[in-house]
Amino acid sequence: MEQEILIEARGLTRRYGPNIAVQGIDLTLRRGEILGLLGPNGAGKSTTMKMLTGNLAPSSGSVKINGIDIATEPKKAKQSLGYLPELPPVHPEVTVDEYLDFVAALHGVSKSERKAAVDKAKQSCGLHEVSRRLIGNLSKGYQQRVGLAQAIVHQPPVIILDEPTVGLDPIQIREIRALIAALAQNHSVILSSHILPEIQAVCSRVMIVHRGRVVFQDSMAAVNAQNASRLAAIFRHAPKSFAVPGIANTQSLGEGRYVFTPEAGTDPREALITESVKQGWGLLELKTEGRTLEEIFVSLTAGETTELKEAA
Amino acid sequence: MSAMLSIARHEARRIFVSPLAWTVLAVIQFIMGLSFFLLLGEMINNPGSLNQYSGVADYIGGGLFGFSAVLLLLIIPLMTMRLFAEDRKSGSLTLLTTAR
Repeated sequence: MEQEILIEARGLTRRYGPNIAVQGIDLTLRRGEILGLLGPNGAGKSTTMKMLTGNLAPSSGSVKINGIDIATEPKKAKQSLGYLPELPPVHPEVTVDEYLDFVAALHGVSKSERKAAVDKAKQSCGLHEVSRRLIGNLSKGYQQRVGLAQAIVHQPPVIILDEPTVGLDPIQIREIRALIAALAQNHSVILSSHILPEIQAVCSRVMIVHRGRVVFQDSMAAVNAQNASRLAAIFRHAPKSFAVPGIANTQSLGEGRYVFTPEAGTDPREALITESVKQGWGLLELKTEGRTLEEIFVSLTAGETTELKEAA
Repeated sequence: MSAMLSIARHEARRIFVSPLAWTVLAVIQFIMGLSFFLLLGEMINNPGSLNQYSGVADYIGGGLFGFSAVLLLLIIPLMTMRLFAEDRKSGSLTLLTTAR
């Protein structure tokens, strides 16, 4: 709690005519946090990010970056920001080196420090071998990395990434995730995605946005703690019935697969294993599962998908 | 101020790495050369008209640069009007709006 607050948004609202894209979103980002912004298509993730980075004026509400209001002192506030929009804002006709040097100059990195800053960004994003190639000739994955390098070249305390892994192959996705995790040690990151495992893998806090509102917000640790509510097990020689203390309900899924619901407040795993060894049930696998992020996401965002209209 | 200069420098480089700018320059040079040639021919065919001017340089230079001003009035917007539009279309305008 005593960690420094880097982004503070209060009551962010944006209307497009009668349609409300974002309604009353409050958002706080502390130093060292990775906040995952999750939501179905059209939930308002990108709109929120545009407002946080000062690219879109909110209809109402305020954004403070590092304690500076972005509406009244945009230049000062934007110094602490690195933003990668959905489309990487690259210039296809210049080389990676030229482009990053330009971006560094744009963000006010002094001429003497510029080369070192560009080198560091290239190092972080694995761009050294393509540094003399034209951006337009690079693959989508490399262009995405250039976009990422662009966001971190001036070492901002806050990095905002809008769907950073779109269009990347699985290996690149893993590299980008590792990079984001590495960045989070010195920076705070806001990440949007609709890929759940991605959020689960890298974020320390998750926020689900649906139809312009925040419908769920919790730390990843709390989400994972909720998961330990059911037990899934596979047995080679499953008995007719399981007489293990602490198990309230047993459900067979066939082929030796079972799902156990423990009695509230108990953890029957140990008893189950002991019993299995004693009776020779041949326990092959035992894991906890339950309300995963995916289930939370689906339960919150499924249902009516009618357009959000302003009550006139 | 320094950001403005870097944008200007970068945009100039972006214009001149594409063949379009060089082609346009070549076309301008060709049209100017043609106009010079025509003015020269007119002067040779009709030397009497020189009396109204203070010299050959006034006649040819004045005509040529007067014409080139009008020509550039058309060419410069042609080259620059796409800059903002293209930046907005490709999304790279956010780069500038996010930077301070």
